[in-house]
Amino acid sequence: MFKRKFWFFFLVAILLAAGGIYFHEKRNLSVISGGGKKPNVIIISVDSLRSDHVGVCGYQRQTTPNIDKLAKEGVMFKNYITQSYITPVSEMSMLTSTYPSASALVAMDTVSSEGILTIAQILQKYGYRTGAFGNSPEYKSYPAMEKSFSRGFDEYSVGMRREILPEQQKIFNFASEKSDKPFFLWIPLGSAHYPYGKFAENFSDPNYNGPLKSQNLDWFNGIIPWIYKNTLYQTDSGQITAKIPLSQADIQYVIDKYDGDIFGTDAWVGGLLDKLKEEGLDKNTIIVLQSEHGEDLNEHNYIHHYDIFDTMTRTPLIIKNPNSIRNNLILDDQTQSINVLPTILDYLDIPSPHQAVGVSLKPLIENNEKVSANDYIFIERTPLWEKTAFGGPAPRDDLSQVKEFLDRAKGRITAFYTQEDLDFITSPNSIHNRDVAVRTPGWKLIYRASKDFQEKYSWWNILSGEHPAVSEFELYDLKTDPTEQHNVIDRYPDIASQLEEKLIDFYNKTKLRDEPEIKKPIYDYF
Amino acid sequence: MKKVFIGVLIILIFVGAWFLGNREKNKKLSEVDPLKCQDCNVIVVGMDAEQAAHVSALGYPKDTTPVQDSLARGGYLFTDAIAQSSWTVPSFMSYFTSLYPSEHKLVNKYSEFSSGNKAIANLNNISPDVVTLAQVFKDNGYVTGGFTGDAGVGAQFGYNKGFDTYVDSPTPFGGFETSIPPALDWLNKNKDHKFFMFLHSYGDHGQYDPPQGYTKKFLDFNYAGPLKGGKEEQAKLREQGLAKGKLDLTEDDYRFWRALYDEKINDSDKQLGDFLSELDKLDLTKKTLIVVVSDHGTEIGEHNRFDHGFSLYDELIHVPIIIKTPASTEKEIKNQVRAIDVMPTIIQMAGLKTNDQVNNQVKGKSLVSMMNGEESSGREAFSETDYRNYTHKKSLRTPDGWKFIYTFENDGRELYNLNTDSGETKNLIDNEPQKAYELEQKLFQYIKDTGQDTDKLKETGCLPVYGEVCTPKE
Repeated sequence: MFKRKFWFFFLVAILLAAGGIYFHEKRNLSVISGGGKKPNVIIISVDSLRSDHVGVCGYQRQTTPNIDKLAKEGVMFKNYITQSYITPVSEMSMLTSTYPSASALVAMDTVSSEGILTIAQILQKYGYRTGAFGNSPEYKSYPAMEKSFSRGFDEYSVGMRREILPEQQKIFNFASEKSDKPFFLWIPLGSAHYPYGKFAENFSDPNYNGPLKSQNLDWFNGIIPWIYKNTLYQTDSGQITAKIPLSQADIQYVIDKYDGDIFGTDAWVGGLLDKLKEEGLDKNTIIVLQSEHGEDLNEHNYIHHYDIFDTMTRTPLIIKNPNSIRNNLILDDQTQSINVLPTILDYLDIPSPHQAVGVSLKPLIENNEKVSANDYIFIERTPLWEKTAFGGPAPRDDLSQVKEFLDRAKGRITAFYTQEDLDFITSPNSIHNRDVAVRTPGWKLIYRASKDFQEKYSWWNILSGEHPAVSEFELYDLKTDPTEQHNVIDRYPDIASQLEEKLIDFYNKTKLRDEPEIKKPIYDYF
Repeated sequence: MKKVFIGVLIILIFVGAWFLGNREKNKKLSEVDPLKCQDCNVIVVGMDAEQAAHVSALGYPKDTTPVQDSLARGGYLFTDAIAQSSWTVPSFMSYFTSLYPSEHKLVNKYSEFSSGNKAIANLNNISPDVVTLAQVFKDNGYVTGGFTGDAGVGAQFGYNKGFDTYVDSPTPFGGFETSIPPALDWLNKNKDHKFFMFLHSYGDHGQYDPPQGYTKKFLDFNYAGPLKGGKEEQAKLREQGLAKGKLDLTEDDYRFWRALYDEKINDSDKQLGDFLSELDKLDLTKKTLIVVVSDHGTEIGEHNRFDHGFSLYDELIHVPIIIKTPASTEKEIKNQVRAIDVMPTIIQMAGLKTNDQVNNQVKGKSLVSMMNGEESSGREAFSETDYRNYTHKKSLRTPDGWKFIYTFENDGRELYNLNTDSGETKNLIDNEPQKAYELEQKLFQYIKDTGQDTDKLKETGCLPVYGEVCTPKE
């Protein structure tokens, strides 16, 4: 009898408890998710890393064993498209989920709009400790860039030298500080960016003895600007003194060095990730690794990031959330810079800022839901490189390097440009020149809104003395022509016109409206 | 076996108890349901420019509103009701369409104002597909009549849409003395039909002066300042405030003005009482649903300015709402509600049939579930003003007492904790960055949902309301 009574009360108790929990949960679902310490966040940006030079994305060389390992712990997007092609411009799109024209950070001398919040500023509002530790000198050396990117950081430590990677101990000290607050780290690494040959030489041919041997593979004080169409131009006081033909082996020499710098950067990343693991700091930490632009390796006759072809705008993106249901995935889905901020905030249960134009990838990562918002990806080519090379403010240090390049180039430039042209290209007005592109998984259409500018000011024209006409529109079939060699606009007029409508609409909507704040050039050569 | 039996028994007991509990509730409702007024007449009374804080039933220490107080004692008094705008033209239309101002688009007096083309904004032209509450009544077989003080609710803006009869005061800013007589005439003619009436008065408004002059009956101190009162002075102070962003008046000056405001509120309230007595005499009270609302408040120096329209502080958007049915008894509802909730509430209480067009249009939600106690939390209130193109402000007032205001022309952000700072004097935008961020994102979701072009909201200029001199654009 006692037993039966016991069971009766037991059952009633269970029923009441279950009901209570059910109704309580139902009412408080949204409240419950707000509790507890939010996960830490780390964004590692590897400058100049092409997607197809990453091991796990199918590169034949083992350039990135550590990045590959991170990809296995998370999700790798091998078709991650960057919103622009120059480091700070593209990176600001990633950190704010806006197009360059919307943030107003469209050149090395424009400050991003104050109303546009970076993820650092947002996380700071949510009580994060925020630190930037990197060695992409752009973020330090250009005053407008430092002003724009340092917003929202408690500690902003960006080195000026690409060959000196950030001190890892400093990063650990910041991350492991005893605190109730989660941390956010932004680690922009400039070490895979030219000058090439800074680190490991394990991919280089020791027997190479061609014309590029021992040359400085850099822009301002190196030979990068002087390589065009398999020719190395030699100059004296602006006059071309020799045109040395380059072979595939010479180009491969550069690629080997590039791969070596990727390897060196990857090793540093590996060290960082291992140490985080040792300290247990990876357990509640979302890690994002991405690159804000790639590098053309002679596919378009130069070794440089100069345009918005896939070689320069298709890079890797890895998102590792330790609590994700799915990992160890390599996804082909097109994604883009503007997805990063909404994805991270989605995982943190923080609303996206209203400026954000990208969508979260969380539904794709967790539930394999296709992201139709990424069917058409838009890219802005801003600023045009010539604006940066001749007209922009020079970096704060190493002015001698810039002077060296300009001294060498001056004869070519002044032979080409009138004083009026020089005045224009060095004035803030030239920031309004840009091209735009729309990319689908199969096609890319580029609108050369800067056609006249390009025909007139292209550095390669100045160098080579050639004046090829620029088409207003270029259509590429990415399936059959992944390196975008053949403009097939005449063969596919229907596809072109369908994409053109979207692209022109984008172009009109993204015009830079107000004059952005300009941080005056520190170095005014002309 | 026994265990199974016990289990089944327990489940049966639970189900049975739930059933009985609900039946009990339903039975009570069907007997004399204070929330249903099927086939009732409906009168919406618009007390233009009545600030909630000046209504005695809402805690004002002076006895300004005995008639509204007595309505509240016999019905539902909403103590935290928020208007969707802070001036008449946009605000009343949100009551009558359950749309935000940017959706019904009646956001300024002029829809076009250039040297070549000046067009008064009219609902029929700028939002021809929008259905008004009067139309819904008409479609349900009611006769519909509107009697107003003209100006902001005049037929020229399309406020007459859906009304069989719509009589505006012959002169702008008329009080009840101009709207009640034609309303009573109409009632006498139509009292045997089901009717819907909008009865409106400008009697509390700054542009209204009592025809018999001020008695200063609420002035309880010896005022020796320079102010005299009256609509000309009010207009002057308004324009000074708009031009300078503030006024240099003393606390006594404001007290003096408050006394005049109280007098107008009290006189209008009394006139409303007279009207309700007439309703009684016509034997209509027992089959009439009465809803008293205001479109906005009035600023008398709370933020160093005069009048209304130009801000979204509580003195302008916190308004009284009272709903009384023949069977209702006193019930105070403290949850935050919105002007846009009134239309669906009336539709539900009067048992009106609505088509998909109306159902899809309505942005508010019936308050019946709140009035019968089923809904316990308040609702988020989004308000907007584009007053005279002088400013573009949007605000979000949360049920837990926070207000975020965004001013588009200068990207101004304000955050107030109404629980500790009901006067909205301490902007917490830098002190509460997370709260400010969250509310800003919510606010912009409304901007997005209402399909607004934020670039346009950055442009200011002049769109006259009171005959200000503006140079139209070429």
